[in-house]
Amino acid sequence: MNPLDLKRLYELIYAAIEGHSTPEQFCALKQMLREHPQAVGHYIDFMSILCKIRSAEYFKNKPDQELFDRQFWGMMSQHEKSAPAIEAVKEGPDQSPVQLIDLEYNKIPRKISFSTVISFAAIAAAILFVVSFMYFVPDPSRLEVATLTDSISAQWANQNSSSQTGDRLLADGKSMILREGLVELQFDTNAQVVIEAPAEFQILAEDRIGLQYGKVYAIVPREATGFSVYTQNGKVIDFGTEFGVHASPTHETFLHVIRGKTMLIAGGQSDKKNSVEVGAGAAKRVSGISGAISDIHCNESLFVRAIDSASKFIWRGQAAINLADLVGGGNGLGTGRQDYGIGIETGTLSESTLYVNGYGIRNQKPWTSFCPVSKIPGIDGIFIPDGSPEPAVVSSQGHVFDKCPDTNAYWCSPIINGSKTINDDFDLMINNIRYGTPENPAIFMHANIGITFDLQAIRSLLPDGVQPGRFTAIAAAPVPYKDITSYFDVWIAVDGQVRFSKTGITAPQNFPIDVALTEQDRFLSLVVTEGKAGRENQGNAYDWCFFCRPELILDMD
Amino acid sequence: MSRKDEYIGYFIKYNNQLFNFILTLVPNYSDAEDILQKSASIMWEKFDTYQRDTFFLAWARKIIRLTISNYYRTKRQEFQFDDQMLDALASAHENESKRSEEQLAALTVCLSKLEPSDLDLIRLRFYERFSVPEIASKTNRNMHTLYKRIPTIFILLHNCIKRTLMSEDLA
Repeated sequence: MNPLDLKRLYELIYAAIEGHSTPEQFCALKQMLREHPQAVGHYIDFMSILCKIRSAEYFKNKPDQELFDRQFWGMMSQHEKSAPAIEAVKEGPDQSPVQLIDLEYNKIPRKISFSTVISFAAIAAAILFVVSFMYFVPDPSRLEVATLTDSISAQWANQNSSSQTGDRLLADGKSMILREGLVELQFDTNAQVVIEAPAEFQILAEDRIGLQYGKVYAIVPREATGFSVYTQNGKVIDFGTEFGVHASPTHETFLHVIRGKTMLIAGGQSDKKNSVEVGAGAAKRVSGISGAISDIHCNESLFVRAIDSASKFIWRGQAAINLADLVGGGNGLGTGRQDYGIGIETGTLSESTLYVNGYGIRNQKPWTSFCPVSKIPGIDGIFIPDGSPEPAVVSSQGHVFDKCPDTNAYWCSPIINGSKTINDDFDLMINNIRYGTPENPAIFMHANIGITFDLQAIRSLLPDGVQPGRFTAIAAAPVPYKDITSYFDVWIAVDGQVRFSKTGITAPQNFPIDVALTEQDRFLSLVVTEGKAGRENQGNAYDWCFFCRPELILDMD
Repeated sequence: MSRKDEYIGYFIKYNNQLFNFILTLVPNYSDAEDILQKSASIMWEKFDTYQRDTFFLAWARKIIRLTISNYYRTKRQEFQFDDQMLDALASAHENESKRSEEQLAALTVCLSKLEPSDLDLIRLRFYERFSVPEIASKTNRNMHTLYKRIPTIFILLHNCIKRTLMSEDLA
């Protein structure tokens, strides 16, 4: 089982252990156990390790001395990793402390037999063979130091050396040329790098990568401190951090440090070296000609920091996930389709442009409780909010919106990423900004409808320590035509519990929504229900709401 | 020794192996704890049927299998192992438990090699039995990071134990 599969298996087992598995995850676990020959063994190992820890004598009465020793050696190893390299001193002939005396002696001619020559030749050939074998035919398993964990549209220059997801990579120093796309490598030390094409790089060791040109973003956890990126004229040594290195074909090196601290050593193999410590928020350029180091602006969005091929997720450190983009079938970072949306009957992405509509056929609930949206990662599903006779189910995990009002359960429009009407006779303007566009996105929802986003699925796309901290939006209730009245209520629920609500809304009006999210929160639901008119059985016409710039604001540790 | 003392003696001795067996068949920590508790009381009720000259673990596992079958009846289909899978896991568990002592020794070595923060994390979660949110608040760390870190620590331990056992086999 390759390390990638093992990692996946252990993540699935652990999710089950904590009782956090989704049905899909548990199904994936069962599938791995059924289909992968070694999975059962690894599963048994996991449980066995866990149970041994549960009752471990190791944790009982640990002597302080041992703890001190561990801390001491930990500090020493940390120091060793971060200490500057010691240059080997070349010794001159006059440095020997031992007095050398020249002795003269008479040479004695030695007689060498033919058989001796043959024997020496045979021994020399054997030694040469063994040495050649050791040096030139190394055991590849000893050199595997990293795994290619993911890639998006990767095209390699040489088909023979192209790597696929799951491939183990050797520290053989061979050049790998990535012509297009992105690859993510996980080193066995747990350092993770994303490489962006065009790039030429070499895996030099378990803690070292060479970069001829291209962009590399490295996330280095504490245990991998000391991870280094070598360029033509510089070397970046990590001190437990996140940083990006851009090496240009003209041998310039650009270092941007996003978190923690690094050491930049400028100068090629034989040049005089300059070194400087570079901390978070700082960036440096190393000249390709002189090797001089200069300050530059730290560009936090220059590097791709995380990728997920399944959802085409390419994260450059953006501060927010755009939920309207998800509604348009995207990944929250702008890949969604403008004016597309989710059909209520099927819970699938529309196949053509949709238009917002304030009234329409009063449709009844097309399915019994909750309709999963399976093809858009990040969206759990949709539902018709109706508190009677049964409370409304708002997630695939059965969360219930217990404050949901009793509605007529009629709905008349899909959920749309946009604000375009079929006659193009309406602009969603707030403070002179037009919303429902790629620059200023909006989600259109008409009563009675709800949509649930899966925060856990979104978190899983992001690197460790980055997660949704708030949901913000401006709710807009415009009146497009004269003599139109609309009444509706807006609810924002997390795991079925109301975190924000505004009821008795009469258009036109706008109001901000700002809901704090915690790490425990799993499902975020946006709900629009009919207002007074609907309740009085006068219909739901124009009981609509636009969530302008609906965003999950990301917290970064 | 009273029958009750005898039973408690067995239960204390084999508690961890039984929990391991349950967790293998029901990979949910808190449910496995509940099943162990329930099984303990059923085993005590049926302890008269246990014959002293037979293997206690084998007898206990039979009772536990029944308790687990009842448990799975209450669970959603998606979160169930089928009988074939349960048999395969039970059999793999029995085979593996033969190497238990060696593994325990290797685990002790490997625990000492963990980063102090990793060691603390698994100690707090699985030995002290704090929940991850409690640990996050106690250690002022990000809960989501902890959730991601734990399976990685298990991989580190798994690899280390494998290496340690291999080197012992070779020695």
